[in-house]
Amino acid sequence: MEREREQIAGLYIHIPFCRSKCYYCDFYSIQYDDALADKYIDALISEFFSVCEQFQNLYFDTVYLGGGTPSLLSHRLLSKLLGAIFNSNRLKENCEISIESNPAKGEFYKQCADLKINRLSIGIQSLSDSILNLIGRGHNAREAIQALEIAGKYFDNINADIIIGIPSQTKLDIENTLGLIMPFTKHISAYILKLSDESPMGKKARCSQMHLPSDDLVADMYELAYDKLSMYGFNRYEISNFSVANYFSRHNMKYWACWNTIGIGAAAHSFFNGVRFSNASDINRYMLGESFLTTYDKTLIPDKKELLFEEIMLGLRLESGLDVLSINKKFGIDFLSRFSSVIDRLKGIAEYKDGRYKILSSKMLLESAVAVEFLD
Amino acid sequence: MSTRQKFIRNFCIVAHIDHGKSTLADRIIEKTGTVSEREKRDQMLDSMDIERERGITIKLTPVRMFYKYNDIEYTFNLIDTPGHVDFTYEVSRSLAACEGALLVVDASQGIEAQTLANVYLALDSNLEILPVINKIDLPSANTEAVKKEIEDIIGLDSSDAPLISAKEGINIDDVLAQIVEKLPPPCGNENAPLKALIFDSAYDIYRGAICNIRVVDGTVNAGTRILMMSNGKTFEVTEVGVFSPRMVAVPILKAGDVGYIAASIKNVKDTQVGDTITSLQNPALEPLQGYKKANPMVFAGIYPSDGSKYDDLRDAMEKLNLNDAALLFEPETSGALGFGFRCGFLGLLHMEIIEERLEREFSLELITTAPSVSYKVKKTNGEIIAVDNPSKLPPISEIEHIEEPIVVANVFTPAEYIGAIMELCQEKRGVFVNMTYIDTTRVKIEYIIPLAEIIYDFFDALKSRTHGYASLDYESSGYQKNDLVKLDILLNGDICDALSLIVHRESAYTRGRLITEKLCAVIPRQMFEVPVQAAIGTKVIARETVKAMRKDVLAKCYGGDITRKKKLLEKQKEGKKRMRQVGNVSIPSEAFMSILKLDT
Repeated sequence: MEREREQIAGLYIHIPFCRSKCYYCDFYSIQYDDALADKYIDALISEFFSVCEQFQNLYFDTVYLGGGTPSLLSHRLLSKLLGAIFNSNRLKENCEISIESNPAKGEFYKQCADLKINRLSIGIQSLSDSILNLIGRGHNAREAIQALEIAGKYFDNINADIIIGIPSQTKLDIENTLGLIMPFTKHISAYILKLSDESPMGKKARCSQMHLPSDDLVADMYELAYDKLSMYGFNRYEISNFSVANYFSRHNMKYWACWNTIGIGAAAHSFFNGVRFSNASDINRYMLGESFLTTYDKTLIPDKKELLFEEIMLGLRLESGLDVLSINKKFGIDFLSRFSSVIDRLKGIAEYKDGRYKILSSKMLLESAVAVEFLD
Repeated sequence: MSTRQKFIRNFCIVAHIDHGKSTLADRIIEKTGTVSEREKRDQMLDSMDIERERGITIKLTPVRMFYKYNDIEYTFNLIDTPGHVDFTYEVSRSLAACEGALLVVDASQGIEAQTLANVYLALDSNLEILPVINKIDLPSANTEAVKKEIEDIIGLDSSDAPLISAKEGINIDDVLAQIVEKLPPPCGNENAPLKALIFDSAYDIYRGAICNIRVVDGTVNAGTRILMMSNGKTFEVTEVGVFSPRMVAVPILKAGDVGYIAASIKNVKDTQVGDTITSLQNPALEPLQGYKKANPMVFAGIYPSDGSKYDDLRDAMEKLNLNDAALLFEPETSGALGFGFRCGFLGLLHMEIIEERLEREFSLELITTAPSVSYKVKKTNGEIIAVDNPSKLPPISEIEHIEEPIVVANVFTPAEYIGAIMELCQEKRGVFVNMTYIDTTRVKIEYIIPLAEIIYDFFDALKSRTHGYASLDYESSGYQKNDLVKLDILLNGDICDALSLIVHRESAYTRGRLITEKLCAVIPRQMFEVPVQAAIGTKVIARETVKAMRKDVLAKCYGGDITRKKKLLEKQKEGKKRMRQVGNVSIPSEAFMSILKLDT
C-alpha cells in the first residue's frame, strides 16, 4: 500500500489560566488552580493523542503554547505536557516551540529552555508603571526589564508584546518602552488596543469613565513605533509584528497564510484542510470530552467564497501582501479582474505589483477598511 | 325648526395653544356626566399619543353630551379643534359643522396670533362667538385687561364672559348655561331631502371608511341608500351613530345632529371631507358649501433609512393618508437616497407630526430632506413650472426668474420685544407692513416675509429672541420674484442631490459655510480625504475637508480565531451598507438630518 503523503501543521496549545484578568481582555480564561491544571494537562495530552490517532501522517513544525498565561504552569506539568508531545515523534526537526509568558521569575526561563522551548514571548505591554497599573497587569516596569535580562541568558529568540493606544499613553511612553526592550529581543509585537464592549476597560470607555486616545494620536504612536523599530533593524512583516532578520514567528505566519493549524485545549481553534473547528470554550465542558474528536464532527466548512475572503483578510495584514498567483490557482479565479472595481477604488491605498497585491506601507493601518471592501 | 332642534347646541372651542382648550373640553365632558369616572383621563378627545405628549390637538374629535338646564335636557355636540396654524384647515372644517364657538382666552396672556386667526375663521362661518376667560386662578391673571382686548381687537362684547379656571373646575356651569342661552340651535328641515356635511373621515379596518357628519337637512339611518354629491358614488348605510365619545350606534340621525355613518365604503377617497351626502331616493338639488382644499405649503423628501424598507414606507404613507387627507405624497428618486417620496405638508408642525407618526406607529427609520416651499420658475422659453424639490430646478441658463411664495405674518408680542422681532424679520427678508398697539404693553406686528424663511428657522428664532412670549400666525399672500439661487453641496466633487437648497443669493454664503462645516463634523473619515463644497452653479463658495482616516485596525487574530474578526468586519460592512453613497463617499443618515437645524 502506498504510504500516504505526510501532512504538516502548526500545533497550538491553549492554557486558559490567569492569575488575574487584565482590564482590556475579554478572552476566555479562569483563575489558576493546581488540581484543575493537573486534570487539564491530562485532557490536553489525551486530546493530542486522539489528534495523532486520527491523522496518522500529521507532523508539526511549530508548537505554540498560548493563553491565558502558560507561564503559570508548574515545571512538572509543563514537562509532562511537552514530554508527551515530544514522545509522540510527531515534531519535525527544527520545530519552532514558542511559549507565552508574563514577566516571570528566573527559574521559569531556565526550565523552558531545558524543555527545548526555543522561542519566548513575553507580555511586557508597556514600561510605564502608571499604564501597567491602569490596564491591570500584575507586573511593574522593573520586573519586566529583569525578566527580559534573565530570559536573555537562556533564549536567543525572544518576542516582547507591547500595546499601543492605551488611555493616557504618550509617544514618549512608546519611545521609552521600545528603547528599553529592543536590546533584549529579536521580535516585537506592537498591538493596537481594541477594546471589546465586554472587557472592564471597554465598559468604562463606553460610559465615558475612560477616554481612549484619538485615532490620530494612535496612528502617530504607531508610526513612531514603526520608524523607531525600522531604524533598529526590526522589519515589519505583519501589521503588528516586527522582527530582526528572519526571526519572524513561523507559527503565527501559518494563521496569516491560511495554512493548517491544529488547536488543542479549551477554546482552541483549528483550521485543517479547509475546515474550521473549535473546542468548547468552557474548561469543564472541554474536559468532559467536548474536544477535538467530537467537535470535528460539528465542523464549519467555509465555502470557497468565505475561504477566499479569509485569505484576503489575513493576507492583507502582511507586509508582503497577497500572493495573487497562488490565490488564483487555489480558487480558480482571476483575482485582478474579479475585484477590479474594488482594486480601482483602493488605488493609492493598496496596489498590485510583481504578483502581489498589498496595502502600501504607509497605509497599513487602514487594514480593516481595506478588507471590508473585499467583503460582498 | 323642529322642537327637538331647539334643544341641540353644536359648538366648538377655539383657542391659542396652551390656553386651555382641551382642559375645558375635559371639564364640560365631566360636568355633563358623559364619561364614567373609570374612563376619565386628561385630554379626553385627543386620542393620538402624539397629541397627548405634545399637549396639542391635531385631529378634530366630536363628542355628544346631555345637559339639564332649567329641567330641560339639551344635547350638546362639541367638536374639538386644533389650535396650531398648520391646522387652520381642520379648524375651518369643524366650524362649518357648528352654530357657535367658545373663544377661550388665557387671562394671563391675552389674545394671541392664532386666537385671532381662528376667531376670524369663526366669524367668516357666521358662528356665534362666546368669549370665555380661562386661568383666572393664576396670580398673573388680568381679567379686566383681557376683556378689554377682546372688545378692542375682536369687537365682541365680553362683559358677561364666564371667568373660569378649567384646571380647577371653577365656573364651568356658567359656560354650560351660556351655551344654552347664547348659542343658537341648529335650523334645518327634517323633512327636506338629506343633506349631510362630511367634516372628517377615518378608516376602520372592519367597517371601512367612516364619515363624521353634520346632518343639515333630512334624516339618515341604517338602510338609507346614500349618494356622494361630488362623485356620484352610492352606498347603503350600515350604521349611524354618535360619539360619546366612543362611537355608539343610534337608530337615526336627524337635521341638526352630529354623528357618524358607516356604509362599507372601501376607499376613503370616496369620503371626501367637505362633500355633501344626500339620499339616492330623494336627492337634494344643491350640495352644501364645501371647504377650500388644503394646499400643502411645505415640501420635503422622506426616505427610508434602510433602502429595503421602501415598500413599508409606502404602505405606512397610504395608511396615514387615510386619516390625514392633507398629506400629499408621490414617489421620487434621489441619487443619494434612493427610492422615497416627495411629500407636501400643511406646515412644519404637520411635517414633524407625520415623521413622528411614521417612526412610532410604523417603526420606520427615516431620512428627511430639508423642507422646501414650492417655487414658480419662469423659464427662458416662457414656460412656467412649479418646483418643490431644489434638485429639480432647471439649469441657470434656462431660468428667466424664480418666484417664491410669501406670507403675511402677524406677530403678537409684549412691547419690549418689538426691536428684537423687527430685527429678526429684517434678517429674514421681511417687509414691514404695520404695527398696532393692542394695549399699552402688547403689540401686533405685521410683516410680509418669504415662506421659505418662516419654514427655515423663523419660529425657533422668534421664540428664543422673545423668551417664548411672541406668537406667530401667517397666511399665504401670493408669489414674489426674488434673487434666488440653487445651492448645491458637493462631496468629493459629486453633487449630492438630496442636500441641494434654493436660497436667496445673499444668504447663500452663510448657509453654504454652515452646511459644509456641519457635514464635515458628521461625515466619518474615509480612506481618502473628502472635500465638502457648497457651490452656486460651478462657483464654489465654501469648502471644508473631511480628513482621511488614518487607522482602522481590528482585533489581532491570535490562536487562529478568525471568526471574531470576520464578524467585526461583517458588522462594519453592514454599517457601511446603511450609509448612503455619493460617488466614492459614504454618508451616514444623520448627515442629512444634521443640516436641517443649523445654529446661525
